[in-house]
Amino acid sequence: MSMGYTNRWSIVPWALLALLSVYLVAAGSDFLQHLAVVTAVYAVLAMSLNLAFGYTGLFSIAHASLFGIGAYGAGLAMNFLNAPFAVAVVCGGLAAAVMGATVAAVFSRMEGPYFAIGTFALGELVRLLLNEWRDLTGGPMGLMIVRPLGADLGTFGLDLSQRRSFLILALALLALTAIGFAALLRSRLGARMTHVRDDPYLSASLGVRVFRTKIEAFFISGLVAGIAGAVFGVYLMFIAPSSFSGMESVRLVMMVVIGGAGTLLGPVVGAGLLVLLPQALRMDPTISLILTGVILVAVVLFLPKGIVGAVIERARRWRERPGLVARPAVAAATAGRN
Amino acid sequence: MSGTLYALVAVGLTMTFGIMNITNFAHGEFLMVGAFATYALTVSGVPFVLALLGGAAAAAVLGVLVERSTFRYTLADPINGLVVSLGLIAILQNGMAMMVGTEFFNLAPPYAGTVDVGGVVIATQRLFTIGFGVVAIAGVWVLLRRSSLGRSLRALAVDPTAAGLMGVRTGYMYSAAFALGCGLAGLAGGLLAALFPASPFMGAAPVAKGFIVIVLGGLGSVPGAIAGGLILGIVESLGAGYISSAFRDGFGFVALILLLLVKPSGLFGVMERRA
Repeated sequence: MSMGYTNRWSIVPWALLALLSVYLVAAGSDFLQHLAVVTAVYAVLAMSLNLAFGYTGLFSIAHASLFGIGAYGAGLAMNFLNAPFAVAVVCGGLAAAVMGATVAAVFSRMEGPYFAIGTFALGELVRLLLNEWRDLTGGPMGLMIVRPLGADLGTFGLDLSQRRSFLILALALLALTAIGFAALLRSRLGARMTHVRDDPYLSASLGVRVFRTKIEAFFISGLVAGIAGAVFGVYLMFIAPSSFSGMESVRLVMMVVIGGAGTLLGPVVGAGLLVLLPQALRMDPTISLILTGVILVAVVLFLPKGIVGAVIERARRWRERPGLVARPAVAAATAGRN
Repeated sequence: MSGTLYALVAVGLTMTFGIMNITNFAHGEFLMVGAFATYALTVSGVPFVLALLGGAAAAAVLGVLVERSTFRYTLADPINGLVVSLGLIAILQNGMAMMVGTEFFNLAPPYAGTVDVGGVVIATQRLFTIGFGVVAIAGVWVLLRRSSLGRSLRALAVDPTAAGLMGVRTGYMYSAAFALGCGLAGLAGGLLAALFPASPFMGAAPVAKGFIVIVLGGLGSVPGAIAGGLILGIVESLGAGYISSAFRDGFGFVALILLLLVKPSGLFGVMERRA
């Protein structure tokens, strides 16, 4: 069921996103730019979860924790080690990646739901550490992160006191993640990942190192989640354990599943829906969580491939509709080239 | 005491896993519903023991409704069941928060005072919790081992198709299994409500413990869940007493990871059969 991005139409939504981004950076209001930063960061985060779940079959309920490790990692590196912003982002990303790889190493040897349970346990453990290790993390009161002043190499040449700089940063991260994942999925590692997802036994019998593939996939997934967390933490200037709770991880799963797991665009659509819709409808967070919970259950029951998955499926069926197949092969081939 | 509660939660979890192959992360929300039902009944004057049974019944009824409307359709793909259960967490937690608000509800312990057991002073409420929990677990054990319902459930866990061919009404039994599991969670919730303040978000911590317990004991194994519950209770108490009480909740995770590295199938593992 690999959703190969060979169809030229698949570039359209990305092009529209790019146009929207240019508009937002150039002329978006302060509030719109804020929403765009949040949406872009969550889109990156949902894409990182999708790499583990949608493409490798590793169901994670700890991605908000990996996001949190990235944010705290970067914040602590800046606060205690005076690390430049760029270095702190790398620190946050690596911390989350190493944590993710460790969890994958412990829990992915086993069959069935062990991996999901293991990530759930990791989430609880991270919550506990963030709340109780007060000397380091500030406990439930949270951690202040001071943004560095001025624009130099350590801030990617951006003036971090401006919202627009973070918008550029978040959008660049989104673009890099999308392009990077598209390239990754065409690589040998990407092929191994989807094979492991579709049939671990068959892949193993064909010489795919299943265990190693899972760890590599979760390392990359954690790295991206951690970098997103680092950027978001410095953007907010204040982080607290409650931002990285189990419910946040559940929201990330919602984004991926509702948008479409195993598609490149799906998590972006899901993140857009879950972040922007409650804002647009001025919805109470409690009610919006109930509503998204209902939507999640409905999507699983009636639209198991998510919104983007369903659209791709429809498009494929339309292209392969019986009328086309019945034509002579030559005519069909030329028709396809027009 | 905590060991008994962990075992109650874990037996329900492991039953829905063993019989329906559903990893129900929303199990804690059934516990929360049971806690609030027990609280409401006790406050309105119903004796505590009856209120506990009422709480268990409320959770069981909700469990059947949820099973009939969602989990029944995800049996073919366990990951879908898992995702559905995450959606249920959001729905049930926030639904309850909308109904009762997010503050904590304190239930005065129905059995105040202490008892002296051979020189050790224990709060009566805690003793009652242990006693009631042990009776409930023993009841479920007898039900599973000795009754025709229990035999059907165990047959379903081994092979649904064969069980159906032998005349087990599988659809009916799935509801029964879910009702039983959620009922136990509701009971644990009621017992918890008398010890700690209840809130719509109280379910997350017990379900985390429940999962540690059933992985310790071996997924799908009822005796494993009981033993795992007691072991986790002891590990946490010893860890809190000798190492650090702030990280009390962390010792279970450490024990879990150590055990999984040594014996991945758990203490009483039945996973090999499923693989």
